[in-house]
Amino acid sequence: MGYTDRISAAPGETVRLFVSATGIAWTADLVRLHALEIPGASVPRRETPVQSVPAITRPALDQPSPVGSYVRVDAHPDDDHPAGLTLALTFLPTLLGEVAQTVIAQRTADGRAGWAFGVSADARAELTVATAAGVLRVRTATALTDGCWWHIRAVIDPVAGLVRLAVAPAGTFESNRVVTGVAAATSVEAPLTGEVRWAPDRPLLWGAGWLEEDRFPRDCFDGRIENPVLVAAATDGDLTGHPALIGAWDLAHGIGPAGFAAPSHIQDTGPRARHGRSVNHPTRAVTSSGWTGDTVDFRYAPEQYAAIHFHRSDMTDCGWISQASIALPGDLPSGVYAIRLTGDDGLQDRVPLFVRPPHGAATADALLVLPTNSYLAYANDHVGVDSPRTQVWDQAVQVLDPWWLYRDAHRELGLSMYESHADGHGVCFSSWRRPILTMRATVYNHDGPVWQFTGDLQLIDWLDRTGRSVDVVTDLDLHREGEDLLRRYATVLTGTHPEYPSREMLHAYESYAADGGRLMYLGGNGMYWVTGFDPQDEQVVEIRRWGGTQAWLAPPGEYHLSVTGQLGGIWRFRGRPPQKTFGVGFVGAGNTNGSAGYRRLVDDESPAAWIFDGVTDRDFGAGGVSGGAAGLEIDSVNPTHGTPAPAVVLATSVGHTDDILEARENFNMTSRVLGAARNPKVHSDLVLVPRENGGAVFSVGSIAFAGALFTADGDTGTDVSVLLGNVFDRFVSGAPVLDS
Amino acid sequence: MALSVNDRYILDDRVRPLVTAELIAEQRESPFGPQSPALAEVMDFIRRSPDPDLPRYIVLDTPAGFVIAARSPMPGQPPVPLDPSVVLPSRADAEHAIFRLRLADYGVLA
Repeated sequence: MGYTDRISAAPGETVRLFVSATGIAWTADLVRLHALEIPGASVPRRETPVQSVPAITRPALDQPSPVGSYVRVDAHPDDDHPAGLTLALTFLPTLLGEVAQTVIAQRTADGRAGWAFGVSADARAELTVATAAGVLRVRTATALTDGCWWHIRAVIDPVAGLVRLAVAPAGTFESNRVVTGVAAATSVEAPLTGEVRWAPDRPLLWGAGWLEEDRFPRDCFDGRIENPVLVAAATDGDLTGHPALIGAWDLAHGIGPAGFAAPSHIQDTGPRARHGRSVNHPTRAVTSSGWTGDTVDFRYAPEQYAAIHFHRSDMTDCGWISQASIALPGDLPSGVYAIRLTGDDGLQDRVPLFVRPPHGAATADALLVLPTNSYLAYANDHVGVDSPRTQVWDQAVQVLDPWWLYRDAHRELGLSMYESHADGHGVCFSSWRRPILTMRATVYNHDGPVWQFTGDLQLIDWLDRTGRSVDVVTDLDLHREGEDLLRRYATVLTGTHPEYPSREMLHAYESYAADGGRLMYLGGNGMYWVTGFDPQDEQVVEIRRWGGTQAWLAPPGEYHLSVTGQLGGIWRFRGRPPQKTFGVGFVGAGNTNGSAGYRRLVDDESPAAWIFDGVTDRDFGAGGVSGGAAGLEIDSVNPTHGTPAPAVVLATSVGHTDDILEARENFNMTSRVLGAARNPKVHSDLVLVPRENGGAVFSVGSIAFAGALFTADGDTGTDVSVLLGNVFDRFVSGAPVLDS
Repeated sequence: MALSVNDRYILDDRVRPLVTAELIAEQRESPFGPQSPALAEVMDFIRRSPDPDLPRYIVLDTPAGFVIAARSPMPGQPPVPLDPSVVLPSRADAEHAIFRLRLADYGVLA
């Protein structure tokens, strides 16, 4: 399996390839993907080798991945402390028990040199010091309470010959999970029976004990650390003003109007400037012990957000050795490609790569923006296996094929944004710097028979087979280039589930349509979650879930994205409901048993009747891969939320069952009637929105729509296909979208 | 068994009386729906795995057919087939077999 250093590349650019393989050697070649196989739907895989790219063979490396986030402060020769060491910090454990965890340490892997502070498997605070007489452990007698803040002061005093650890409850009413049952302050000390063995050649780590091979964190921590201070002396006095100050790190430093400009930078405010660097994206912009609950925006009370949250399961960069690069030919057409990896042990993988048009140019009249942020959000998700709710949702027991089992076993590749860490904190980050095994040809059968990448390949297949040419770009391309990218095209298409846009992307779509561009929104539940790109590494995105139909809920006070400062949640609550630009917005979701077809609403005299040329029946779209053209996740018009008055509702879905349920943000009081069978609000609308300057938006409001482009025999002759072709051709032609 | 007080009530006072030979036959005939309200209620109860101490079943799609397994309590660890020699010819058969297993787990199937 493998990944690349970028998901989108232009012709002529070089893409670095990262591969982990068993066996002796692997070979990579480039193929263009025209269609992915959909078993049971008569859709065969179609791919074409790119002959102009020579195959590459390299020796196989079975490459492990570092799992767990941490902060690294590089080693310093002065970290040999003859006068002793004092550590003060405030921390919040979030998952105590079962195994020991290290909060902060500077030690060797074997523990024979250095020191560490952490929590023991039985939830006691513990200071460990390596000495010539062996390892000295000082442990408090009472157990800590997880979800609560603790202040500790640890002193290693070689002169007095003792070690002391004091632990006291900390935190405000608001910042602590509970207020009762919390242990009182306690202090323990023990004599130093041997000379302390420091580890000045090892990095100071937060959230991990040591780094195996200098990159694999061990003894990782679930919880938060707030502003640690280290002094190279044994003292009970002031620390930050102490002349022997090693470092005083301020986790609120760097917070500005746009969040953290450098989220991985950890500022040392002391004179030695021993700044740290976070790895694997521990969460910032989280509440610290002083949070009062009076603000939920970290930008306005940075001192109440002076903390960082580590998870043992954070993983945003596999960090594999790259053995090869692929130079893309300068004349390579824009499209969906894959680097085909073949091992001499018979294993094969296809690593997707999107080839955009040359920078500043268009090579087709239409552009398809592939919703790569959505691919990231669902990346490697294990919900189908882990979550008890899945079988209720799907109304079926999960069936795991060999690919499911393979990717389920590779948890080291990181989680999706639909999962939570073991401590219950939702996964805020997702990264391209890892294999994303949900983006493979194998059918993804948890959320739907086709989903995301496989769903969008249905559009690629249909466009290819009907002779309609498009360029392809990614969400990141659009985020970077904005409307300038879109305005090169007569028509812009979205994918089937473009759920995770940035503000820049939404602005680009709206500006394009307002300036006369023509948008085709070909999915459902689109333009939904507020999404931000890491300013230091745009291969990583962040979300905070609240206020929507959601897999988890951000903790109180943590609704803002660390990487942008923006209020997270859904765009609707930021004044950008999708209805304003696209005419429709999310209303319901369910499994394929709930899918339905559409009923035409406009008559032959309508100026929009041309859309139905060749569609003879009033009701259409009842078939398809997902049980009907309207299904999985669906959208409808809503003038209250911004559907423009000139919008023409062309058709609406009818006949859903109660397997499609209303989106939770769309009802206020609890309702007995959430299922679509008796809830008229839950339906999909096909809508045409004429815009100023000749612009227009056509929206299908359904993820399942693309699954109805083919007959059961795999032909492109369905009513849905005819209708979509009419719109595509008219939009590209530039002709008015309303007949006179 | 670690059913909550409310789930114990639901099991004893709502689910158990619904499970009849006819209902089991209906599930065999229509394992993926549509299903009667009575069967839907029983399915919703057992599928949400209200007792975390009981097995959470999944189906393995193997070259030979469908094999019933229990999910490992440790995420990422492989599921454990109940009996690898028992291979069911269809997904519907597997769905029905798991239905019966779950009813038995909850003491509803005689």
